[in-house]
Amino acid sequence: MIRTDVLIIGGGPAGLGAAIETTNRGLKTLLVEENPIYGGQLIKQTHKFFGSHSHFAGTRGIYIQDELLKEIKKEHFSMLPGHSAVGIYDDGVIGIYDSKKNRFKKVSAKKVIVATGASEKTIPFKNNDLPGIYGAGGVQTLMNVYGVLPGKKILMIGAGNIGLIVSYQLIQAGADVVGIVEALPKAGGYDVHLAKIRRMGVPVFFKHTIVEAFGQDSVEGALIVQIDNKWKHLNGTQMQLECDTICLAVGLTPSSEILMQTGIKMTFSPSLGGYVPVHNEFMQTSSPDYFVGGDAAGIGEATSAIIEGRLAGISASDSLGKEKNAEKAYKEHVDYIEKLRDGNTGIKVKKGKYELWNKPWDTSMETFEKKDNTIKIPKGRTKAYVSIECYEDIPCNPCEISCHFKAITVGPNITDLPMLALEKCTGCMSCLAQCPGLAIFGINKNLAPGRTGITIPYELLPLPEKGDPVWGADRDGKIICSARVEAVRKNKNKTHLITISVENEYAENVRHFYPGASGDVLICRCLDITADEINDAIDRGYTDFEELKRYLRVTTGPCQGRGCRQLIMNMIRAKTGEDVSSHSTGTPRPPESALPFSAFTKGGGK
Amino acid sequence: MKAAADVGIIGGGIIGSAIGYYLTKMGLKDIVLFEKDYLTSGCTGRCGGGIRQQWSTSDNVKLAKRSVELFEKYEDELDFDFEYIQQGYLILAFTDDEVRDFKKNVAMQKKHGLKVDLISPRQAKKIVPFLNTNDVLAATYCPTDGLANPFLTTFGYAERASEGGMTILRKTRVNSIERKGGSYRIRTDKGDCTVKYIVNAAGPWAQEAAKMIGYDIPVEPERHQILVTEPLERMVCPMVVDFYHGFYGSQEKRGGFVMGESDPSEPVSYKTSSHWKFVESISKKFTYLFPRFSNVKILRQWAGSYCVSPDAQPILGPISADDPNYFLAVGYSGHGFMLAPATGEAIAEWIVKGKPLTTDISHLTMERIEKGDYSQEYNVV
Amino acid sequence: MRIAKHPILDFKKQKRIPFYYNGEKIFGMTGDTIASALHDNGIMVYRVTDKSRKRGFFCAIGKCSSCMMKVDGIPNIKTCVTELKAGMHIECQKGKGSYK
Ligand SMILES: Cc1cc2nc3c(=O)[nH]c(=O)nc-3n(C[C@H](O)[C@H](O)[C@H](O)COP(=O)(O)OP(=O)(O)OC[C@H]3O[C@@H](n4cnc5c(N)ncnc54)[C@H](O)[C@@H]3O)c2cc1C
Ligand SMILES: Cc1cc2nc3c(=O)[nH]c(=O)nc-3n(C[C@H](O)[C@H](O)[C@H](O)COP(=O)(O)OP(=O)(O)OC[C@H]3O[C@@H](n4cnc5c(N)ncnc54)[C@H](O)[C@@H]3O)c2cc1C
Ligand code: FES
Repeated sequence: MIRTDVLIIGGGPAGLGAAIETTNRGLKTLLVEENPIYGGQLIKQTHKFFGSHSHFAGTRGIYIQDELLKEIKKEHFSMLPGHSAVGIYDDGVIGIYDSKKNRFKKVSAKKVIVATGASEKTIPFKNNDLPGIYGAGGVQTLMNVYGVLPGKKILMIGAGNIGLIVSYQLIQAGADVVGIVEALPKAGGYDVHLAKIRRMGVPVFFKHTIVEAFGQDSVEGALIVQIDNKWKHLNGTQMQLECDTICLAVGLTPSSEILMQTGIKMTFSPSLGGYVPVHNEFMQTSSPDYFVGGDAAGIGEATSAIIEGRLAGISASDSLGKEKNAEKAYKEHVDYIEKLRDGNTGIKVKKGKYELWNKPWDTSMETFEKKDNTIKIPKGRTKAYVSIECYEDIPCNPCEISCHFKAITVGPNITDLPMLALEKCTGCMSCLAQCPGLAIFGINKNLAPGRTGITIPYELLPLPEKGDPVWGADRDGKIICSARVEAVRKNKNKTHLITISVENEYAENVRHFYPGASGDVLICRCLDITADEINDAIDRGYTDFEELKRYLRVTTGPCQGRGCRQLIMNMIRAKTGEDVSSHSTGTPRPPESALPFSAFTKGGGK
Repeated sequence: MKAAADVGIIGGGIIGSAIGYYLTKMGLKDIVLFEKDYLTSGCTGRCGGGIRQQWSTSDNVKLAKRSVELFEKYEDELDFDFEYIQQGYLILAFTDDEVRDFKKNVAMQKKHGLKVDLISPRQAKKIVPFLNTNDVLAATYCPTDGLANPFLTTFGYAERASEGGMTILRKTRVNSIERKGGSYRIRTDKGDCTVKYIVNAAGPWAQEAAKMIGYDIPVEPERHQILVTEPLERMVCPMVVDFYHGFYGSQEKRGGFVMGESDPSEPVSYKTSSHWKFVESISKKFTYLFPRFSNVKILRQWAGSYCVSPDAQPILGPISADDPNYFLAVGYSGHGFMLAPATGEAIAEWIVKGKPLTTDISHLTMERIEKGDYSQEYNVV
Repeated sequence: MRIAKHPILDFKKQKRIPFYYNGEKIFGMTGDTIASALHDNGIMVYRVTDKSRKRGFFCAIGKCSSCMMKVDGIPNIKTCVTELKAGMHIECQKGKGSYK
């Protein structure tokens, strides 16, 4: 029998958060985690998290578990990865299973904190068990933990945050997302996540659902159909999509089956995602020995999971008499979590929790006064500036913190929209790499005559190189103009900043780019000289045709410049804006076409 | 245009650029280079790119040898692939007189530390298997001689010199020069610039630039023709020089054979047109020396001017004791490209440090010409 | 397919290890689960149910049982949470699985 003060089940953000509080109060704490790797959902989240800067916002999920572990007092802590809690028996003993050694072990704990997270929902449709149909979590595990792509052409079902984020991660890993099917008329996930994949050209089929999957051994395609607001299929709108993987991201449901074994009170809450253990504001269940936190207590997000975990840890310590100033400790966390849930997405959870706590709910709390954060750019503005395209009350503020010039304000209510003080914005663009939503763009109207520089936060491979010709795409991912990469600023946090230039008229609309084809544009066929080489030479200062000719030898091949002279003159003009009509264009030399020596010798001799 | 500068260089050929490069390398920044057309628009733009150390005068050998030392380092130093290859020069003797002269030259060259040998026709054939050595009596061979691309070398100098502070004014012709106290006011078609030092690196136009302050220098332009063949796989062919028939030719790094000839009947002129007589005559010479290649195709022919001095050696240093700050770097007589590194260095030292330090060029000033005290360079094609 | 290059993640270089799928020798990497290694080899059908339905993995975290296979003679092993070891014999499971 293993004896401990506190047993924590689940090593995700909630479990780790709880361990911080209990170990720092000197309580002997054991954490069991089913997975061989701790971190829960975090280990698959390659994107940057929202939230308050002081609580890991702007940090990629995959790094957060290690940050949390640092705060845990190691001398009071032991962790057993690869161990799942399999039963809570009537004497209070908890059975755990060591999967590696295939051994059942028993734990006796004074208090138990359950932080077992969530499980994925699924939806019914024909052939929904065909190999190639995977849960979003499964897809994430396969690609982000094991480095294996689930497929090449993916159809995503669900446009909530998970569907949107996993679509983005699939594209990052090199897959093609053929579309996202969403039953609602609007994405459930944040606009910025939607915008991110939209501008990469992923079509979103709103008011659609999947009716069947087809394929011999595994998925080869899907049939989708449009639905009305009563979910009735509209005939004539059926559409077949070719794909080899169907990824289901249709929601999570709290997973606290183990607590049900103890007979504590459970309740069904649609706003919290399903059956949840009844718990108070400080995460204590109907039993004084069991605490709960994180997704297991209602589907939320990682930041609030950490806070809930911490609250559960403080509660457990409190009940063991290890908390002297409980009031204060609770208040700090309760206040923060309230703030996190102010916003169109969080408010659902808040409502669910208020119902649970029998706290009065006023429907006016569900509507938020939204500030207008659009700004007018004065005509004469020549300095670069940023365009903040964040119009939704996301609890998030790294942009504010990242600005060294205090040009961006979110304020104490982190669900408020960021406001830009244009006169303070220097165009330094530090905020671009920090915004977790990748929703800030840099605009430089003064890049070159007639051209605007657009700086885009970019997390895809391959990274372009300066000078690359690319295609500028609008917010729907539609190519609308040609563009050129002007700068590549690499960042340690892997959100790199790519500045492309487009003609001014496209500046308002271009928010993404696609790499141009990698093939070369050949200008001089005789000597294999490409447009890039010529443009580089012109950039290097060889703007005089004669110098350029001697630098690259263009026009000195057998065709004597017939094919390329004009093209090269045009390139010089295009780059320098100079009238090149006065340039010497080189002198074609005899012989007009290559002739052998023997033609001139009439038989040789001295 | 800058109203004033330390040094004004007239000419954006290999010589002007080399001097500019060495001046900036020695720390001088305030330099303006005037070029009436584009860089390499003069003689340099027509040049064959040969780099040879086998000369008949000590001074030429010394300068060429020092230049090769510098060329060997340029790829890194100039950060430029200037297509340098060291595949040797093979000079053929067809008469007893030539054999006698060659022996003398080799002895002198060896004294300067050059790795060079008088070899038999059989040895020559081993080096160039496709060469017709039937009438060859002997040959000299120096493996460190070579070839490079004069345009790219000029651009390399110019790029580095610009980084070092030199201003290059293209399409800017120097029309006249006025003495102004101890300085010179250079008048161009784009404005004036007053400088402390002038370097005349005007190639075939050197005489005009000297006349601008009232001197008549004994250099003359002389047309030389040249051609290049279609590029072929490289077969490591040293430059083959034949003074007897008046021929030189070699395969450049990009694969084309470049070749030219000397024509003693060529009159003094700025003419740079090409003549059919040249192709006919050189075709005979080439197919005689390289019968295997008679069906190789000629791609282009062109011509340029040598700036010829009385002794076929460059004229370097102050134009006269009265104008100690007006420097000449002229009269290269068809071998200015290969001498550019050492003479560029020497002139720059003279300006920056008061006298040339690395290579002794005291026999190459105007003085020798005025006194008529010089040794003739004979090894010219 | 193995993800060769990723803009955010650095996958540590792993060793190739051999194992057998239905008797045929194929390769996975150290650190793989059986499921991830099979998937990398393009094998998506892990078992065929009594009703002849083909199944691959689904949740990848050991919760749904979709991925059960016969491993070294033992049926009903959740391959998505079972670490791959060199020389393992993996078989596509037919029906409920047997110890034959
Ligand atoms: C695709 C996706 C994107 C997301 N993006 C964001 C985001 O940008 N920002 C944000 O704040 N949140 C985000 N979230 C949500 C966030 O990841 C979760 O809300 C958070 O991880 C919940 O934490 P948790 O500790 O409650 O549960 P989990 O992270 O799920 O951890 C639960 C742990 O318990 C273990 N466990 C379960 N049962 C047992 C058992 N019986 N015995 C032992 N161990 C057990 C599990 O293995 C797991 O490791 C995202 C979620 C997903 C799926
Ligand atoms: C056919 C041919 C083959 C050759 N082969 C070789 C060889 O193999 N090896 C070798 O070492 N050498 C060779 N040479 C010689 C070599 O090219 C020259 O010696 C060398 O290029 C001279 O360089 P430069 O800078 O003195 O002259 P140039 O290159 O002529 O430069 C002088 C510059 O001054 C400019 N200029 C003149 N007057 C004015 C003014 N008033 N204002 C502004 N600018 C002015 C001109 O426009 C010109 O660009 C060859 C020459 C020719 C013609
Ligand atoms: S895939 Fe769900 S248990 Fe393995």
